[in-house]
This record gives sequence, structure tokens and C-alpha cells, in this order.
Amino acid sequence: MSSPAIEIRGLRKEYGDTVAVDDLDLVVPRGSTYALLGPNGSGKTTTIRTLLRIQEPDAGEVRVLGQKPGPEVRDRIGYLPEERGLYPRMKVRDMLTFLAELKGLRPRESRARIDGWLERVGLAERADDPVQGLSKGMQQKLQFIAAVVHEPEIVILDEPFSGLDPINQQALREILGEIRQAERTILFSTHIIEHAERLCDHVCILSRGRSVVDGELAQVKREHGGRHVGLTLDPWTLEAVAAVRAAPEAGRVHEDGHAIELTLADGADPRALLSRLVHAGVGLTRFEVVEPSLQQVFIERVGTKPLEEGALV
Amino acid sequence: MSRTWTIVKREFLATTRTKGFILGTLFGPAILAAWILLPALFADSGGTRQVVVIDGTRTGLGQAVAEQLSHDSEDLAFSVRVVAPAAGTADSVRAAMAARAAAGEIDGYVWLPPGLPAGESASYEARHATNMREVGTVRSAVDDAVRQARLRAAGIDPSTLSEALKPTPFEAREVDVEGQGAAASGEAMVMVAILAVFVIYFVILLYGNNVLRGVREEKENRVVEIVLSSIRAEQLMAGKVFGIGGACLLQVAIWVAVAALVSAFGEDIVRSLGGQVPTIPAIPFSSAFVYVAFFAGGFFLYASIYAALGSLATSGQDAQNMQFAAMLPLMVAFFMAFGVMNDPEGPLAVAGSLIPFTSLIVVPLRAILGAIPWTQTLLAAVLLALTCWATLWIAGRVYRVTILATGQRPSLRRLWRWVRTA
Repeated sequence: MSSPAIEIRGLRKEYGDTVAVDDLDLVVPRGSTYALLGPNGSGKTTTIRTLLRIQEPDAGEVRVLGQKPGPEVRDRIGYLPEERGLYPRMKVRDMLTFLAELKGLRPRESRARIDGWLERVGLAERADDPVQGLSKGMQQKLQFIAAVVHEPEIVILDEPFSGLDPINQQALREILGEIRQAERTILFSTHIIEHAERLCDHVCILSRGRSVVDGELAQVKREHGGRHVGLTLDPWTLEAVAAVRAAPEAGRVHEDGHAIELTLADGADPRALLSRLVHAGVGLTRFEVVEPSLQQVFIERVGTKPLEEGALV
Repeated sequence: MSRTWTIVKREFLATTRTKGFILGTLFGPAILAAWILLPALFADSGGTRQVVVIDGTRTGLGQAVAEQLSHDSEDLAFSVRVVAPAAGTADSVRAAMAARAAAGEIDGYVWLPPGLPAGESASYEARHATNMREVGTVRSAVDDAVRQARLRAAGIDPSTLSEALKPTPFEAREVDVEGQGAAASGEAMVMVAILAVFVIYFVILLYGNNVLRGVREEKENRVVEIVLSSIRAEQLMAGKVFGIGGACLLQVAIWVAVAALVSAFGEDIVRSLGGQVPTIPAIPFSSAFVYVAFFAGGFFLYASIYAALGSLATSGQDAQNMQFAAMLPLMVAFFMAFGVMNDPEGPLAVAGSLIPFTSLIVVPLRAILGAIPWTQTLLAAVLLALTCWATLWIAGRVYRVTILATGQRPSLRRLWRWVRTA
């Protein structure tokens, strides 16, 4: 059996008095699309930087493709950092040629691939322009090309969707779908749960540097299933919503127009909730025990919404 | 190594394609050319001075001064008229001459008072009394004339005395320590040494700052993170230092080539303009080799320090302070050079040669002056190489642990802990 794409054991990293990553274990299987979720400051970027050896861990072991991350392994990884940056005065094609060469691709080998990618993302006409003349979104596309042009076995993307408009977000999802079909491993971090839910088959949720959820997406949902109820009010009235919220069986309640999703309180029976609502005269056209959304799992385990600000990094 | 080479190429091209590099490459030789040509051009601007000598002594001294003035000067010519005022009219004659000078009719007048041979002071009132060369020529003409008059009064023939006092030809020449015998004059050697030392100082300062600025920009615009996902920080730093170093060597090589062309073909042009061509003494190959080797070693030493400091800087102000910190030892070396020139084999020279942070200037200087035994050169080279290696190693680690750090700069203690554990 081949080794996992990425294996992290007991990883710890401190910045001064702040612990960014605390005793983290993580296994990313080969060929998986793995989402690293967490609020800002939960340790996503630090985890990624240490597995790329951009930063050294204070403790713990990291193995990539079965090896310690050294020069040889680095060539087999593509990386899109969260904080984007390119040499502003370099020309677009020269910039990509340079970054490809750092991954071991000679200029004569990379030329056709770079031109193909520039064509695909609509930047072919800007190939000889300096990078500083491009918009932020265009620069992000360049960085994405740099992460995949050498056809790496593992693609690591730190917040790949931030800064992209909806059309380009869709284009990026399509490209990631192709990479996934080619059975290459994708590890990406995001705090936009919707993207993770659409793309990933594995997920790890980080909170304060620790993993609070880790595993296959379906398994994670199953583990958190049976505790979530979806219902639709008809008619929708303030009194009906208040009755749902006041029910002792209801824990967290999330309203979305006429539809409501709620988490059951500890030990509560969904049938007792249904009976209470019917007796209270709440009009219902739907009442079902549902699999939780990733958003619900996140809120349940982290205690906050993903976009809330955290501490550092 | 190939990845480092990729960085070297990028840094070399990024440096040499800037306007600053192109202008610097063009203006370097232009400054050199100006250094040779301008004094020659300005030297011709004297013209002919219209001067009146008012001889209050009425002993013929005025005529003697006029004769001295007319043959003393080479490129500064004097047209002299002697006036011997009648008794009691000296003051009015002087006033009249002062008025003519003020009106621009003459350039000035020399007043020789009656008590001049006895020690009374002569004076020169002129439109260009601040022109040191003009005033100096007039003073020595008066001085010579009075001295000759005194000799004659004492019954001594001035020509006999001047023959007896004719200076004995004497020239100071540097002797090569290796015993080969250098041919150039000491003064010319010192001029070459000053120029050589200045080039090292100036170029390291200029390109060291380039390295610091480059590192800081990389850190600020965050490009460093994507680069560090492919190579080690030490490789990035080494590539930067060697790439920018290569651009620096290219520029200096162009300057040297232009200087060689100027000295080969420019002599006639300078002479045709009436200027003087400085005699450039031949530098032995061994000294030139020592110069290049220590220049390169010193460059890498300081450039790696600048790179480490650039990675530490968290703001523009911070970077300026860092720049100054790196400049200090270089400035000490530069000023040390002047002490070493006076005593190239003294204790200061030996100490300066063995301290790697100053040897990059002191050793080439002593080599050009032919005043360093090969054992000391060798020892200095070994010490410089070891320090270079250690500095590159430490700087590489500092670079690695600080290049992604933002916010407050780490304390020295924390930095040392990082460097040890990195």
C-alpha cells in the first residue's frame, strides 16, 4: 500500500507566546481532495508552510509522499500561497518561466505549457506585459498557473478563491475538477465552506491550532447526522418562529426564509419536537431529520461562523 | 546548485536591466573622464592679467618684479607696467590705480612701499585677489625680486647663489616587498591606491544597498513565499548575492575597460585640449589579482550581511537604520586606509589586514603600494574566506527565520535562539 500524500504527526509551531499549531495529526490520502477549514488564525497557513518547509516546526514530524520534505519532494508539489506576490517588473511569461524553472522545468520545456495555460485563463495577450500592469485577479491566475504548470502530484492551495469574481471562481473549480480526475492530490484551505462542500472528499476542521474534525466528508456528516432537523413553515409567522426557538428540544436554530435548520438539544427526541410544534399550532409542510451541512458541522465544532476573525496568521 | 543558478540569472538580469544600472555604467566612465579632462579645461581659463607695479622704493625693484612676473608664469600670463611715483604722490597714484582696477581697466596693482627691503609689507590689490594661483605668482615674484636685491646689497651674485642652491633631483619610489622593484613614483602610486580603495568602498556600499533593498521588496510584496516553496532560503540568499555581485562586477569591468581605452587613446585628446595626463603607474599582476580577490571576497561578506539585515527589516525606517549599521565597519576600513597609506607596514596596517571586515580594503591597498608580505596576504585571504563562509551561513539562517516574519522585529536573544534551532 502506498504511503499517504501527506502525513503530519504531533506538529507544533509557536510564534512567541502564541501557539499557532498544537499537536496536530493529519493524513491526506493520495488522490484525495482535502479541505483544511478553520476560522482566521486557526493554523491553516502555518500547517501548510511547515509541510512545505517554508517554516520549521517546533516539534512533530512531516512526511510528504513518504519522504521528509526535501528538495526532491518540493518539485512534486505545487503551491499557491495565501499572500500573493510576484516580481512586479518582470514580464508575465518570464515570471512563469522563472517559477517553473525553480520547480525543475527547463525554459524550453515550460514554454508551450505556459502559453497553453495563459491561453486557457485568457491572459495570452498579456504574456509580454510587466506583472505590475495586471489586476489582482489576473495576478492570482498567474500564481495558480505557477502552482500547476509543472504537473505536480500534490497541489496545495491556500485560500484559492479569495480575490476571484464568481466567473473565475467557477473556472477555478472546473480546473480543480480536472486535476482531481487525474487522481492528483489537492489540499486546499478556505474559510468559505460552500467551496469546500462542493469540492472536497476529505475535510479537516482546525480550531485554535488543533484538529476538531478530520476524515472523509461523508463519514463526518454521518457522524454528525441524526441531530439535525429541517422544517418548512407555512404560513411563516413570527409566532411560529418564536415557538420553534422556544422549544426545549431545539438547540441552535438557523433561519433561511420559510426554511429552518436546527440542531437538536442534547438527548432531545425529534418526535417530541414535532409533537410540540403541532400542538402549538405551527403550520408545517416539511419536517425531516437531515444530514448536517458542512457549515453546521463547522459551527457545532468550532462554535463560530467560519468568517469570524480569529487571532493570528 | 541549478536552482541557485536560476536565482543568480534572475537577479543579474533584474539588476542590469534597470535604468539605474545603465546610467551608472555610462556615468561612471564619464566621471572618470571628467576627473582627467576638467582640470585641464579649467586650467586654461586664466587669461592675461593687466597689472601695474607701483614702485615706491624707487630702486628698480618694480622692474625686477615685472621681469619675474613675465617669465614666472606659464599658463597664467601677466602684462606689467611699472610706475615710479614722485615723492609724496604715492597715495594718489595708488588711489588712481584702485579706481582703474574697480572700473575694469586693469586687473590690479602691486604696491612696493619704500621700506620694502627693510621688511615693510608689499601688497597686491586686485579684482581676483581670491585667485590663489594669481596671488601666489605675484607673491613669489616680489619675494624673488627683494631677495635678489638684498643679495646684491650684500655683495653676493644671485646667479652664483642660485647655482649653489639648485635643488638636487630626488624622487620617492616604492620598493616591492617581494624585491622586484617597482618603477612608479610614490605619489602616483598613492593616487592609484586612493582611487582603488574608493572604488571598493563605493561599489560595496552601492550594491550592498541594492541587495538590502531587493530583499526588503521581496519580503514586502510577499513573492518570497512562493520562491521558498521551491528552494531553501540559503539558496535564495546566495543566488541574490551572487546575481547582484555579477552585475556589480560587470559594471566595474566596463569601467575598467573604458579607463583602459581612455588611457590608450585619450592621451592625445587631453593634450590637444592643453591638459595634463596623469601618469598611471603599472600595477603588477599579483597586486591586481589580490585586489580583485579581496574585492570579491569583501563584496560577498558585506552583501550577505546586507541580505540578512534586509530580511530583518520590518519597515523603511528600520531598513535605513540597518543600512547604517552595515556601513559602519566599511567606513572604519575606508578611513583606516589613510592611516595605512602613511605607514603601510605599521601595526594599524597589519591589524587592518587581519580583520576580515577591514582587510577587503587594507590588503589591496598595501598590495598596490607593494607593502605586504605574501604570508600576510595569504593569512588575510584565509581569514576573509572563513569569515565569508561563516557570515553566509549565519546570514542564511537569519534570512530563513526572519524573511516571513512581520510585525515587530525580534530581539537579538530571540533571533539567536531561532538561528541556533533553525
